[in-house]
Amino acid sequence: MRYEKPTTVEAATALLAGQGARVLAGGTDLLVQMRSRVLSPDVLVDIKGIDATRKITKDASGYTIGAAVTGAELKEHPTLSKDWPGLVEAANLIGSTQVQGRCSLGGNLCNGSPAADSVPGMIAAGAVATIAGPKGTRTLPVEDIMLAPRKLALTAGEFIVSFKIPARPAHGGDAYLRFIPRDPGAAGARGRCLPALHPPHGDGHRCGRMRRRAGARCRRDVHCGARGARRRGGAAAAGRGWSEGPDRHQGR
Amino acid sequence: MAKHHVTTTVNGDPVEYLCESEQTLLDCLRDELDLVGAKEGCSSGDCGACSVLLDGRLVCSCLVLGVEAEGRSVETIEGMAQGDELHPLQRKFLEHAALQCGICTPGILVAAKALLAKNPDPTETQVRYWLAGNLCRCTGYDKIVRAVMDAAAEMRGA
Repeated sequence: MRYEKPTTVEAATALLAGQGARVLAGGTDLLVQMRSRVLSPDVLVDIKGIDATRKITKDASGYTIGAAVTGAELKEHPTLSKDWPGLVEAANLIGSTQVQGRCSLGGNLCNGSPAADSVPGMIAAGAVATIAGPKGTRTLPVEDIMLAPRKLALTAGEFIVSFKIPARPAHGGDAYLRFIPRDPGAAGARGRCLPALHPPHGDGHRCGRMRRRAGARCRRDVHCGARGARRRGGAAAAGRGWSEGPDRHQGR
Repeated sequence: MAKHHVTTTVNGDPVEYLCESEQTLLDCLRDELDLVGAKEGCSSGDCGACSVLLDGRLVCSCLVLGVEAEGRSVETIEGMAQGDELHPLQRKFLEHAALQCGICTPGILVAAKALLAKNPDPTETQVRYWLAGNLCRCTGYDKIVRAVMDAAAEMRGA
């Protein structure tokens, strides 16, 4: 096996277009799978040498979070936890303190597990991935990336450079709830959901818009907010008063 | 495939080693540098026995490749005592009998040191959550947590 640490996106995509190449970000899933011989890559492409994968930038439109930024770094960011606490809480549930020192949003998504903690959080926040490939760069909403367990909508040579998280809407907020028999640090949860709510504002206590995601419930994260909402109760909660309890729809 | 020539810093000393791409940082510390304090427990990042600091960040050295340490700074249990003088955490672990077989102890000490560097006055809950990635099959954790709290108090001068 070869180990390569390119410093440019172009060099990385060229390496990844080759046979048997895998992306190495934090390695907390990849190295375990290599050791158990689930995966035997010919080339490991460490993307952490590419500046854009390792930094968080903030502007008026929101955050750009490098795909290899660690969970610990997300938590330590001065404003991210205030703007998107649910997303950061979700990412911080990936493994132990030690795993937090390495695990990343990009790795958590591209590992392709339906039980990935940070993925419902990213989807509910409206995260969009910036994907680099041999033909250039494209963007894709996070919800469209994992097609089935271990199956991604990325083609040969493509990798996620960063995620765009929009600026938090006025009066917006988010939270992440994980239902799990053991805590903390135990992987393999039973189910999760993340409501990104617009809490009380304007007239009385009404929910303006709501996206709710449930992870680890089926082969890929299910919609129960925004788009597929009406049938599943997410949008039914929008426009309701809090006292009516949108949570009775939870788990549909 | 030629081996990688890695130049790094371990416990403040510049070191070099040769490693294969597949070798983990734990393998390199133990087999190339004879620093056998970090232990191989689960090899999957669950037990924390291989905990080290990489650029000050607590990681499982079994989940880091040796080649990734190039140009970085690694701190292991071997760098904790200053000569014959034990670190307060090490002393408190002895005083509280916070170990039995000792396999998990180097990892727990490194992890606890990282916690106290970040938070000199942790609550018991914070200690337990921080150390949740360090498994111990002997002590039941209570003595470990007490030793860490006591060391933290001493280090604060309380």
